[in-house]
Amino acid sequence: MSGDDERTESPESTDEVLGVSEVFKRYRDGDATVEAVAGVTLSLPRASLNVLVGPSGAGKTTLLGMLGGLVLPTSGDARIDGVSVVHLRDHHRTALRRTKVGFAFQDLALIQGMTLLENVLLPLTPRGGARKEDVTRAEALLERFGLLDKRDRRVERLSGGERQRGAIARTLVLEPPILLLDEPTAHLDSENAAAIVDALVELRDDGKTVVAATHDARLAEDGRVDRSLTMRDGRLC
Amino acid sequence: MLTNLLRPFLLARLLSGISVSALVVVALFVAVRVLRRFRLGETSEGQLLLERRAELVATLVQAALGMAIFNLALTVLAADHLSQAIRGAMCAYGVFSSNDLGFLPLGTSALAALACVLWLTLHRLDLALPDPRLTRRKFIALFIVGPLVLLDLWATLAWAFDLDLGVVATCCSASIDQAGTQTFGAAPMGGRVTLYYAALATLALAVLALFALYRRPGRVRAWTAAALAALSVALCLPAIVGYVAPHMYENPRHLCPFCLLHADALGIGWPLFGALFLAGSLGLSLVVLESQRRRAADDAIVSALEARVAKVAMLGFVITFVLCVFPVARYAWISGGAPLFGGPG
Repeated sequence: MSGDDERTESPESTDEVLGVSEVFKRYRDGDATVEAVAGVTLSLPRASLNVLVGPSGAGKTTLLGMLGGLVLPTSGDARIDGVSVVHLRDHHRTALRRTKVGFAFQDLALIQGMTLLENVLLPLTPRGGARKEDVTRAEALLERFGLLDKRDRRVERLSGGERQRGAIARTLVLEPPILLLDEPTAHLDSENAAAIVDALVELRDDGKTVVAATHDARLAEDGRVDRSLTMRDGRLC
Repeated sequence: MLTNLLRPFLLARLLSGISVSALVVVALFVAVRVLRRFRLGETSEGQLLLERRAELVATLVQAALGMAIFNLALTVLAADHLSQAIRGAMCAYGVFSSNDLGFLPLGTSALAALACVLWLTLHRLDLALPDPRLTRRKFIALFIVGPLVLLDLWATLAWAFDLDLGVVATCCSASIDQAGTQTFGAAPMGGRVTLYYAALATLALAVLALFALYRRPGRVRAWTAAALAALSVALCLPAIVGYVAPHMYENPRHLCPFCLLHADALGIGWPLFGALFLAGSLGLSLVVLESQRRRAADDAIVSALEARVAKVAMLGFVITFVLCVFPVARYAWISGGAPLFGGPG
């Protein structure tokens, strides 16, 4: 099922968890204006696995950022769990993101020099650090992703697949209902990529709303994906 | 005269006033745009850009108006220091009264400072809310605050240029003390005492009302606290002049409030008037918060801010109370209980 900015996706669906309406993102590049996202309307329901696929520079990361309230649109509306984020004050938007959205960035953003467990516990820092039950929960997440025995290993000593799974585990430590992942299978071999996809399907089955931006066709063509949206030149095809 | 300006505190006051006014003028241009185009429900590029711009400008205005509040102290400080350069002027009173504009710059500074406190309260409430639903009102309010700030700048500049350091000024003893003694002297001695104790009682009630508001914010408590805050200021000012000051000077005929700023009065005037102004203006700002409660549509946020404002105002009135009692108690201790005014004290 592919998305289309002219399809009848209801931006105000009551089951909508993430939504954007006629969003544009424009950047100045010298005298020129670049439209990274051009007039996208999208509504994603609860407990769904959605994939944004497209070539590099299509606007996937920008759209992902707008869906998660990390990037503000130049115009148009973006909603997280029914709350419009475009008018929110920074601290309110941050608080909303912190409780609702988990991000796994393209470069993973794992902190070198820290262990895998320390990285997974990092999102708890603004709250004053990890309590005993948080550590227990983090270890359970690592076990789920087959990484418990690597908990005390520094991240630079992990393989690509292990780091990818560790980054996903980190997004879950605050138990957000929404997960946004940018290129979750990048630079992974088939076996590791399949493991990631399996993990994402499991998370969807757990009731989470998952959106993955990728140029990897393997993820987009997996039959278990609820929605595969193709993006090109800032628009949904 | 330009040479008048070559006095450090006066120069500081003028430069501060000019910077504040410049920022306010810039903000007023943005305020016009906000008034004409700000529509919170829209998600057009123009609206989103205007929201960001308004937030940035409001941040600058916050700094400017904070400085404008401080300008009130700078006005008094400048005048007090100039008293050393003007013959006959023993304090800021002599400096103000030596000039045709008189106390106008002090009045405009006080009015502008009060308006700034009220605007800053509205601004803090707007920032605390999830979205800029009070931004339009906040910028509309700048059309009141802005002109007051500019009027203050004009009054201060005119006063500074009109200063004649060669004039022989009238000392506070020759005018305010005489006038004050006549005013208070015409009334029964008990009148001064009654006024003093009425001021203390009102301060105590204001503290209690603010404490009650701090514990449980609400409309009735806020209005009660605001009314008592205003009444406290209205009673404290004449009580300080007529009763507290003479006790501090140990002289029943010396009433000048400006001399309380000096070292021989332990500089008590600074914390006393400072605390009174802060507490009084914050007390009045409770009215601003209550008036925006419906539009804010978030009782929890409004109440939380009311509680914080009440806490600071309460502290200000406690300090005022202590500093109103201290000179009287000190004199009683020094004099062994002898009344200052020659009758029951």
